[in-house]
Amino acid sequence: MPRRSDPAVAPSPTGRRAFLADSGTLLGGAWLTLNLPVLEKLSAQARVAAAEGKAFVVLSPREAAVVEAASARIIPSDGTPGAREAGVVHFVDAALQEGVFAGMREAVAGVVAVLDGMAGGDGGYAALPEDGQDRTLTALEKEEPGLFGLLRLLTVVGTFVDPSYGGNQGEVGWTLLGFQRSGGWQPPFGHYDRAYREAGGGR
Amino acid sequence: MSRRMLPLGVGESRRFSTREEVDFVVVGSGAAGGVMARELSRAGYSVVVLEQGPYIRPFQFRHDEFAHFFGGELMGSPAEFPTTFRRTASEKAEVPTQLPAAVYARLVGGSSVHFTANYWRFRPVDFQERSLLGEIPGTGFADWPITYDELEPYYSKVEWDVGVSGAPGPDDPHRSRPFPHPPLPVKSSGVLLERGARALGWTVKPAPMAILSEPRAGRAACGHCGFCMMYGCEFSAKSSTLATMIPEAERTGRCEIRPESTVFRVETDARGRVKEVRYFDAGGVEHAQSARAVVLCANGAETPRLLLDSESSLFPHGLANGSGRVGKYLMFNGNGTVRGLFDEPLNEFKSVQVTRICQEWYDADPTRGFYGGGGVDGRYFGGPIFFGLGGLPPDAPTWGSGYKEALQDGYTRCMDIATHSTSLALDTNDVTLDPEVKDRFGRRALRITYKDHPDDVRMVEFLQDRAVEILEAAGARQVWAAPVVEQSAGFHLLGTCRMGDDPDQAVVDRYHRTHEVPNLFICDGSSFVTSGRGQPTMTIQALAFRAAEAIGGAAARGEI
Repeated sequence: MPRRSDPAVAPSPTGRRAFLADSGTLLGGAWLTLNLPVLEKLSAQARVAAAEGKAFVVLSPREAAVVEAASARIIPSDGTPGAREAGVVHFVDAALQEGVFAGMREAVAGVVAVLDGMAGGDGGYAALPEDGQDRTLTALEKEEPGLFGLLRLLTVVGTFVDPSYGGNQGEVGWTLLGFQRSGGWQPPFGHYDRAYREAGGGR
Repeated sequence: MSRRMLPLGVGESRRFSTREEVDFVVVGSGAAGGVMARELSRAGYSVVVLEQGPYIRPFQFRHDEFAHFFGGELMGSPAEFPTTFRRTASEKAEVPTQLPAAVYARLVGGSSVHFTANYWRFRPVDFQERSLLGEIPGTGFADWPITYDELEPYYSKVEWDVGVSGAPGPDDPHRSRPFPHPPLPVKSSGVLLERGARALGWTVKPAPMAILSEPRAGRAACGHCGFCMMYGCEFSAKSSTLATMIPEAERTGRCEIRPESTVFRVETDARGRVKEVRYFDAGGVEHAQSARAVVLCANGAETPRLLLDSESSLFPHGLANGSGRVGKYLMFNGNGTVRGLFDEPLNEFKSVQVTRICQEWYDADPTRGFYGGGGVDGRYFGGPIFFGLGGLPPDAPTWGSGYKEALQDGYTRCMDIATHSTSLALDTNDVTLDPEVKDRFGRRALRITYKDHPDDVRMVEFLQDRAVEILEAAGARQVWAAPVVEQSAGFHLLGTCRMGDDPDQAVVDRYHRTHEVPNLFICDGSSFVTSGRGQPTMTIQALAFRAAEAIGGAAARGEI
């Protein structure tokens, strides 16, 4: 009998089973290390910048436009707020100033240059219509998966991070997920434990 | 030893001069060190606890996923304290770019502050499995010198003294006292684990958790905020030593907790007895604390490192290392994860990580064709950032409108089943000192060499397959898991100064005294002979209560 966790084995008869190719994605893969005092400082800076609507510190206006446009294609604003409303570009500008994410400064400049190069024209990537931006991102994902991964990392973190870092403004990222942060909750917590209690299942 | 009474005012902690010879120095303030400090100071001895991390008060803990999972909050700076990793001795060890190879918290209370608080007892089989199953060639598989029955009273003491919530299951080992607190309220993940496993004929029971389900002696009951794993509990509902043992030790007036004190050497006299412990303060200034006896509770990575770094002409291979076993037999425990997506909201972000467990596969079963045992739990997978990065099923879009829809649909409807299992003791898995990489104090970095035994990997695969079956039986819409790979980081640091009666085979005796140095004791995860099935902290603390009683008794009899 073949081992059931062998990815080469066909899915179960129910067809509901699938396996991730990248073993790192569940927990370990996204773990980055950054000095805490730097995070504190970044957080304070981002709060101030976002509140005051200040110009970007690290990003040039063109870089900011490309980062904002690309992040808005990764998590679009289609009826509900997306990366643009979350203020991902503000998070990125703050996060590139110091710490481990500052090491991404050159890479972010590289992403912008590559996207603008792929887009062509004077306006570059940010001036493309949305379907053109999507086609360009698809090409980036295929040709430069590392650069695409960086853009996706920054977009996801910037959308779901604590709002004090400049992203997830108004908690729009958390609202999208249905996540709420509270000092505490009381049962029932979800559908299945509510039904369990109602049926007399106890603690 | 002296039994001095030192009356102090309320809220005042005892302070000792480094020149004053205290009865005990305890190195480390985590699960074991906190117990040791409380028990020895309550027995009347003067105790200085040297803790490398800062003294962070519970009100300072916060709910910030980015700081904890990206910034390593509570874990110290890997740039200042690098750990190198390699799979085998033939490779050159490198500093990992992501998760450190040995994961532990650096603060007063140690990893008990940020642990998930699963408090499984070991079972009788864990202590005598070598006798039951016979030799496993190529491994250091061995019996413990003590039995479950000898440790049982101390398991009960842990439950009552630190505060553990739970209810006994039909497959539990003998217990002399009931749980002091009822189980925490079940979550949807617990209900679904129970539903799926029972449909398959398997036993499910409330998870034993070191988190309070009701108020207790100045500590609040769990408020179900959802920030346990990797976070500190600002309500002190989690039974870390910071919330339990440490303040009780300080209240004796005989115990000083000295934070930001990184011990780098245990110094011996001409007779080979420990005389002082040398450490750096936060500014890198060197100090030495005199002591009549020393107890190392620094964890399964730091304790052997300190012994190896304390080599001398009397102890050329490291202190207390005549057996050559210091740093050897490192065990991480196997672990796997399977995720399920359901139709209705579970809202797993609320409350504690785990409320139900299933230990159906605890005993090794030769018919499986490999050695191993373990269990599973139903649990919350983590915060919004991690879900966004890698939480969705493999067939979900990774960006664009479809990605956004899948995020919106999935976050409240997912749960994980985590698997926990054995690691075999291997001579080739160890903690050594890196010949090149140094830490901020100029010490040689910790070097971890680790490659899972093939049976350890097969056991994780076996349990992941059972977890898939449970989630499907529970009605999951979709179930997925990552392929099992060899581990390159350990949260459980076990086995590196093993306990045993034979001085040629073990570092400490059955009462945690080192075989070679009469006034040097070791009690933490390093004392383990086998790994158990994946939740070691309960056993670390039971050993610590038992060791403290024995050490205090020996001191009272003048036998140290």
